[in-house]
Amino acid sequence: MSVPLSATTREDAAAIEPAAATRRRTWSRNRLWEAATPYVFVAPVLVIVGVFIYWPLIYSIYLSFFDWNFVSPVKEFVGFDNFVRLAVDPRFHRALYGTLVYIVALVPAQVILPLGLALLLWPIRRSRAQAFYRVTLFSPTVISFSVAALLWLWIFHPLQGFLNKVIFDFGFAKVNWLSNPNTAIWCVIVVSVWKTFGFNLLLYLAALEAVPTDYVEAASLDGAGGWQMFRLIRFPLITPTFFFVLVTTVISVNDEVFGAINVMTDGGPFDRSSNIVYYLYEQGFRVFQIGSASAVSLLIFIGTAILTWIQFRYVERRVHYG
Amino acid sequence: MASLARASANAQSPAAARWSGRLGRGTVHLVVIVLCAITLFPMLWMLSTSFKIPTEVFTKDIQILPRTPTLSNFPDAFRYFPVANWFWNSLFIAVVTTVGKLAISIPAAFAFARLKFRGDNFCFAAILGTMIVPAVVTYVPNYILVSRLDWINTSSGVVVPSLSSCAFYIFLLRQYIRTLPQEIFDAAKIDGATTWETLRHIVLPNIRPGIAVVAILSFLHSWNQYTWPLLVLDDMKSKTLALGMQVFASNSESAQLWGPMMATAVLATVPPLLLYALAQKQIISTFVTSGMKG
Amino acid sequence: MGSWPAFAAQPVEILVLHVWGTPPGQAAASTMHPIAQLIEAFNAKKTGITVKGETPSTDYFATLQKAQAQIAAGRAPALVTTPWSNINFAVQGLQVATLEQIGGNEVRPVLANYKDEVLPLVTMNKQTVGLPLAFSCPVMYYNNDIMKQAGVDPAELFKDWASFKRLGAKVKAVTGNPILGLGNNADWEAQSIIQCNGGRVLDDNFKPAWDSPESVAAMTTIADINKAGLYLQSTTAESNAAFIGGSLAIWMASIASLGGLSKQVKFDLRTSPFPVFPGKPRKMSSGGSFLGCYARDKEQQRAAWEFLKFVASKEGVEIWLKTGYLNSTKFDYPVLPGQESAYIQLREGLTRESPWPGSRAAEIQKVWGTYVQRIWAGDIGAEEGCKQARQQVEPLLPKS
Repeated sequence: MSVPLSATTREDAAAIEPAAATRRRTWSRNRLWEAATPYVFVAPVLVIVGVFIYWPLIYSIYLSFFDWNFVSPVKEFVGFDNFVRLAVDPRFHRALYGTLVYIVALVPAQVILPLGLALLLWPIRRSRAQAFYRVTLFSPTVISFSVAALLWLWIFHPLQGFLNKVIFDFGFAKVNWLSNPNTAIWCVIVVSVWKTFGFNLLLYLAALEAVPTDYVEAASLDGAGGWQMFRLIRFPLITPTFFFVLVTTVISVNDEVFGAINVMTDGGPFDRSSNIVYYLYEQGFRVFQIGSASAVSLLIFIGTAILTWIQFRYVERRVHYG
Repeated sequence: MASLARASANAQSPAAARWSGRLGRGTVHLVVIVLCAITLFPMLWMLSTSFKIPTEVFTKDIQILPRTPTLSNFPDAFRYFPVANWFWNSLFIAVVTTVGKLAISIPAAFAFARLKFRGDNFCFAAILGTMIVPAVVTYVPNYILVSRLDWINTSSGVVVPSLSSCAFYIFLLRQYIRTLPQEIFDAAKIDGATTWETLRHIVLPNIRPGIAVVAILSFLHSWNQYTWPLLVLDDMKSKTLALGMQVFASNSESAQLWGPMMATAVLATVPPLLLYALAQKQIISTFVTSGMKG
Repeated sequence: MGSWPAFAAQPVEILVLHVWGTPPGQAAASTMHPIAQLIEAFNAKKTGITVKGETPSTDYFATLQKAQAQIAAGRAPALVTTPWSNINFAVQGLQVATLEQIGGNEVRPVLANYKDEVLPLVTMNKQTVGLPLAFSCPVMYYNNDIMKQAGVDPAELFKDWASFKRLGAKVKAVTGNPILGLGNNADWEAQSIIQCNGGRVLDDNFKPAWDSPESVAAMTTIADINKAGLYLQSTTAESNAAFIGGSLAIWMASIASLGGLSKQVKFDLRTSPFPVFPGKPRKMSSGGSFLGCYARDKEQQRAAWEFLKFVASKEGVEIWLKTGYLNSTKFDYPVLPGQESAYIQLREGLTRESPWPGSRAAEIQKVWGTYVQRIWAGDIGAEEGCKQARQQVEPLLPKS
């Protein structure tokens, strides 16, 4: 898997030779600069990450102890009031429950479904249709969540929607997909799967391609069949990708569904499709309760950290790094 | 590279295997085509609605194709709302974010892949660690910061905080740089090249495919970004396409303009789709090269 | 009002924040929204005052929040469209400058042109907090083709809720679908229905009053209609699409949607006043907004008043009414077909849209709105729902 040196590089390398000779004269200053270079390379990223990710985390802790509506000049210190209020707010409980449903439903759907699809596409990877398949299956990924949700409004429409038309023709009763407290959350889930499975599919396809040929040939000479081949050879070799997809999906899944919730259901009906991200958005940016929104931020961070730790603790040990 | 089909052919008689292989592949094609159809179906509605007159958008019976197709939704969209501004904003934000992310990610990736310096592991961990922070956690403080800087309704308000989500790209590029043969770095050292020169003359030319892929992924990501711009961009003229789309149907006291909305949606979808279609092979091969191995 | 006196020696620029981006339905796409036309017409008079319009958001409350942020930053916008439902917030939270403060004795003759039913909506503590601008109320839009097919007389159907339920079944037989959809925040229409039954959403002190027997009975009405399969549980976008597509017979929504609807539908579109409760007067809530002045600076306030005078002039009103909003003045302006229902309701007396109190007003509205939907959809009983909503809102009310 080596990358061929491009022709330009050789020429460039030759070109810098005389320049390097003159530079030896100012040796000590150069050495100082050389020692500093790695820091110069990583500093911009560290600064940006510090300002826009780590500082907000710390600032959230501070804000979560205040009652503040974002514009008032005074922040009123309220101790743990914001957390207490969350503990008794039924809308927050709904949002927590929704968060759980999204994780339980979407993590398998976004981790395993694309893997199945990648395996399906694998035997026909030499086919001329492959490029078309890959572009088509990935295409929902490149459109915006707001567009995606607007398109699905038309499919889920209670009276004129495509889904109900089909159901009705088969003799079933129409369903108010987005306004029925039991189905709305599943509509959001379906749209999210449709919208996001393409990216993970791409990662799996790449992982399968990266499996060294000799492993597979050796196994096939031993008479390993399709499923065995997958279980014993391919899967272990793509476990790093599997683990990566798993961890990132768990972290991002509730962020991702926000767009669909906001466009399709507004968390409704009766907060039944809401999740913790939507709740935070409402608290912070619709009703401007900065303190309670910050408290929610902290809870989200702690929850995510715990989930990630569990995965590293119990799943990562099974990962096979080739 | 041996395919599954060829592998199983070893065990059976060649002719039978060829037939069962074809049949199997046929079935697979069929399944995949059905999946593609499901995937494309909502987008078909987008395309057809963009050519529909208002009275044909919602009908009692399913009417996939427009009966009296019209092109007027496209110019109308631009007249109703500043769609041209939205388009430009989306493009500007996506391009500047991408350039910015590359500018900070490439040197960092190189440093983590090839340079030894005190605290390197700590720095790398600090950056990778951001991947476990869901973006939403930072929204409230960042919104306060951005509004203090008077960046509400500006591209800077979207671009600058977005630069912080570059950990994945740094990781990807670092893996890519690691696959470059050690000899070229040794050669550069013998020639007395400085670290900076090595980056410019050795690393950059050799990781162009990797850069291209990161650029495309970042472009797609920012083009479609929804939540953060939703918070920062309120003014009608400062919106991006992803946000502006909703305005067509948001005001219940005005008309819901689905035709022009879908026309705008088509315009918003074509650039990223083309970009991806052209680059999809390259993206996969970059993922293959760099892998997910730690 | 032909010539306007040059007002200031120094040119002044004032900012107007409003919520209108789309031109109203019937207008060609190229025409500007009447609010923009108003601003342009005023600027053309070269009074030394330049008005600049901005749309920070198409959402009333979000626009007000932007104004709030600008006030806090010391850059108070001169005028902001302020919805009736936020009048408390405008007065207490944003310290709106009353017309009397900015216009002095010029105010009385200007307000004399406004209808008597309208002025109480902008009056608080005997002060006029702003100039009525967008003025609407919910009406019943219906598809007359479906009514004809069902052989139902719409006047009979919309007479009262009992006849609505009885005849509704016949309408349902035509489409096979629920017949009544909702086009707004549920709490707006709920307020109208509750008031028509003699109940109230908020009392005089802006405390919840929605758990009175009259309110509960009114809420039960829609829940029963839902039980009879006549109410369509849906999002606003869905019921709008269903009505336009001809599969939903009746849509409760703002009269301001008239223009947009009439351009999109293929059937005979009509409107009707809300059904009443037998023996009780109709008492609908109004919607829309007034222009409130938030400038702190005297010169800005004066300039804002000059612009308001133009908005309230015959010329200004004529430009504005192209929106399809109701005419809140005594100036003659033709009534659009379909608007009659709204004017009937206006004459019978409109109340202000619920003015939610305190700094957590938006949250209170959200909690109540959610319960309205739950009650109507049969997810919770009317009495229990109203009680729970009140309990949940209690800690959000301002401490007095």
